[in-house]
Order: sequence, then structure tokens, then C-alpha cells
Amino acid sequence: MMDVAIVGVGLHPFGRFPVAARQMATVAARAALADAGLKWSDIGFAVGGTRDGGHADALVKDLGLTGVPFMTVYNGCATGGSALLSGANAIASGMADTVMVVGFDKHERGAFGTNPAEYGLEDWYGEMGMMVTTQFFGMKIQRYLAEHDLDPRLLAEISAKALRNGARNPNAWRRNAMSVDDIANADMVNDPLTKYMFCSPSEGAAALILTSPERARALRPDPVFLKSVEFRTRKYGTFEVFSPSLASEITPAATEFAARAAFESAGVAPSEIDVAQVQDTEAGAELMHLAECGLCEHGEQADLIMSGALEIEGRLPVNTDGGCIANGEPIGASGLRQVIECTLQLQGRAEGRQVNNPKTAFTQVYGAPGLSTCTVLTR
Amino acid sequence: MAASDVLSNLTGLVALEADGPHLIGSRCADCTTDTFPVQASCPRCGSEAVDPVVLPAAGTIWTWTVQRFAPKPPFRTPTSFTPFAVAYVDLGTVRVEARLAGRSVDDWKIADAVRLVVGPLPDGDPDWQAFWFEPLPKEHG
Repeated sequence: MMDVAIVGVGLHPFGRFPVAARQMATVAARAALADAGLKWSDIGFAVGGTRDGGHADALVKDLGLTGVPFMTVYNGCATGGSALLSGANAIASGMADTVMVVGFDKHERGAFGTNPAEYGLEDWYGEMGMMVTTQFFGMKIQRYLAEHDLDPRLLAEISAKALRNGARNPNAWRRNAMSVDDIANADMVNDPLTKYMFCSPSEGAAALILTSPERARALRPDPVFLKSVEFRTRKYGTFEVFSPSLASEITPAATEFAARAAFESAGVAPSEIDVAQVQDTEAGAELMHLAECGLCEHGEQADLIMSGALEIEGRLPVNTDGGCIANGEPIGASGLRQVIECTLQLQGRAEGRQVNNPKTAFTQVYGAPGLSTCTVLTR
Repeated sequence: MAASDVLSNLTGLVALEADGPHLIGSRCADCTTDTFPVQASCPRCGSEAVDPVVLPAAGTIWTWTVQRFAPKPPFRTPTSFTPFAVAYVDLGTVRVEARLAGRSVDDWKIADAVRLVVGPLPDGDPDWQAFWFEPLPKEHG
């Protein structure tokens, strides 16, 4: 079990803003310091990540040139998970007493990655029209629905929940609820996914302050404890984006290994989780990740969704801040947003969307091609 | 196959055999894993003992979707975009990703039998060769 506490969180709202990514990061970083009652000069180690926001370590110029070691990390959509892991290890190893973890981004409209060479592929793959992320999402969930005999309408239910929760979150980008019918009947993008079932690249920043549990109790009455952070990459035989071929047998995804390790390391069972944030790049991802994380069995999602269990007032609230679907995905910040939402929920500070008295929380961030970081948090 | 039998922009991807075109993959000498296209090492076990293998020309649809908007470059955009179906086709030892043609985009199903076709795309550059899968004709007799 990990001995690390979260004593401060700060978020720049997600969406689109006429400011530089670094400015958003500075806002989040200062908010996290203020929440912890600390100053930048108290930070003994910092770690940050961004894809399109420039160099993360350049933030020292905005926050103050204190000589602090600032490490930059990058792991695609799972960058926030890697930053958190690095920061938590700095506390656990005794390298630093107080750590800042920060993620931020500012993406252009439209999909990521259309240059085959950047992914080790030849031009023909893109020339023939297969270098499309949404196409991959469509094919993956199409297979999953067929294998587990699940109704495609569940995808519209998941999006409707995300937008409903986003409407209750002042920091979310998309704050207008939509009906299941309107989502299901919208323009098809890549069957069975319609245009309201995807998250979009967006902008935003997130920061956390970590310290030891002892110091945390001196700093605030309600610290949140990071019981585990586990990171895994894929094994052979998983179904990942930009794959000209797949194995003849599908094997468990990186998330299954990361989640299992996170629960084991924390000494917490999936059935004990009171609130969870899972990667919902599109509605199908949430559907699959619920089972990959061990929060239900493969195929059981229909019961969870249709019974209302995943709602804020349900038995297992999932993506209570609206997830990626309502917040968009600034990939440096996205994984940290999930941890911040769980922290606020555990502290009873999730205004407008508070889950009833949660004690244990879980996050899962997933990135291409095939890496996953999962955490277990308690209060 | 002779080099002249292979259409220039599909060199190394497609072999023209007596019964028609086949995709060329790699087979690992150590763990027998097949991949497509040709790779320098085996993604399963890391072995560098991989050799080209001519893959079966026919298989079944393992999953599919419809590409309903025009992909960004380097997609070879025809003058007007027409949605096309895409699939992973199960060839037995490996599942390959390819476009589908020869049927309305709304009529594909998992497990449909298909076979490989090469040529210029119907609405594309006549001098540029692509590969795709079409419905396998019913056997006679």
C-alpha cells in the first residue's frame, strides 16, 4: 500500500479559452497551492506533462525560479497517470516532502494523429482511409457489443449520463443535458457511434499537491489518501488503435492488469468502491472499461446502466463530473481531472454533483496505444 | 511471384498468386505468430526470426464499421467523398484491417465471408492501387 496524501487540488475549467496552455496550468497550480495552504517555494519536487502546451517544465518561469527539480513526463492520453505515479513515488521514496503534479493542454479541433509515420506505419494505411481514431472506436465497440449481446442503445444512455453530470459541474465544457433519443438518432460517425457519443480534444489544466500522510493531517482536517497508483502497458493480443492487423485471439487489456494491481496493492475490493472515474473517450470506452476495471463482469453493464446504479445518486456513481464526454480531453490534464474529482467527492466538496458520503474511490485513465493507470483513493 | 506481377504501390503488401491476390504478412519462426504487414520482429515474443508469409485470400468479418466522413490526409480524397465500410477480416492466424466493397455500407454483418481484391478504388485515382475485401461468391456445385 502506498503512503501518500493529497492535500491540495486545483483545476482550470475544461473547454476552449483565449489563453495559452501555460496560463491555464499556472491557474491550476496556484489554485492547488492555495487549497493546500502552501506556497510554490514549499514544493520539493514537481512533475508535469502536456502534449500541445509546450514544455511542462517551463512553468517554473511563471511560478517562480526556486531551483525545484521539475520533471516532464508524457504518455499520450495517460500522461496524467504517469505524472501522478512519478509524484507519488517521490513522496514514497523520501525524495521530497511536498510535491506538485500538474497536467495541461490545448489541442486543435479535430482528431489526433493522422500521420502514419509517427505511428510506425506506412502511408498506404492512411491513404486507404484507415488512419482514423473514431473508426477504431466504432470497430472495437461493435465487436464488444456483439460478443456480449449488449444493446447499442446503452451507448446513448452512457452519453446522456455524462452530459447530465456535466450540466451539474461548473468546470465542465459541455453543460447541456441531451435525451437518449436525441443522442441515439444523431448523425452516425462510425457505426454504432453517433456524434454525441465522442469526447473532443479540448483545453484545460489540473494540479495536485502531494505529501506524506503525517504532514497532510497537520495541513488540513480532510486529506485524501492515494492508496495505490498502478501503470501497465498492453500485452500481445489486445485491440488498439492504428493496428493494420490484430492477433487471432484477444487477450485482456492493459487496464485489467493495472486495475487488478491497484486494488491488490490498496487492499481494497472493487465492490468497496463508492465513486469512480473511468476513461470515456467515447461511450463505448466507458462501457468496456467498467468491466476491465473489475467494477462489473463483462456483459453485466446493461443491468448497471438501466438500473441507474451509475448515476450520481446510484450505487456506483461513474464519471460524476461528466467525464471526457462532457469535459473534452486535454490529454495532459485529463487523468488528473479524474483524481481531482474523486478527491472532491471524498471530501464532500463536489458542489452540485456530490455523491452521498463516499469513502473509497477509483480512477482509470487509458491512452493509445494500450497503456493504463489506475488509482485507489480513500479519505 | 515475379516482381513484375506486383502492382508498384502495393509491392511487399500483396502477392499475386495463381488464384488471385493475397496479403503478405510475417510469421515468427519461434512462436508461429502471424502479423500484417511484414514486420522486422515478432510483436508477441520479440524474436527477430520472422519470415514473409502469404496469408489466405478469404476470411470472415470479425468486426466492421462505416467511415461516414472523409478522413484527413494522407487519405486519397476522391472529388466527392462516399462513405465506405471498414473491417477486421479474420484470416485464421491473423485478423487484418481493410476496406470493404461490393455491397451497401449498411448491409455488412459480423461473420460475413469475404475475399481479397486489388485494383484502383472505384472512386479513386486509376493509377493508384488499393486492396479491399468483397463478398465471397457462393460456391457452385
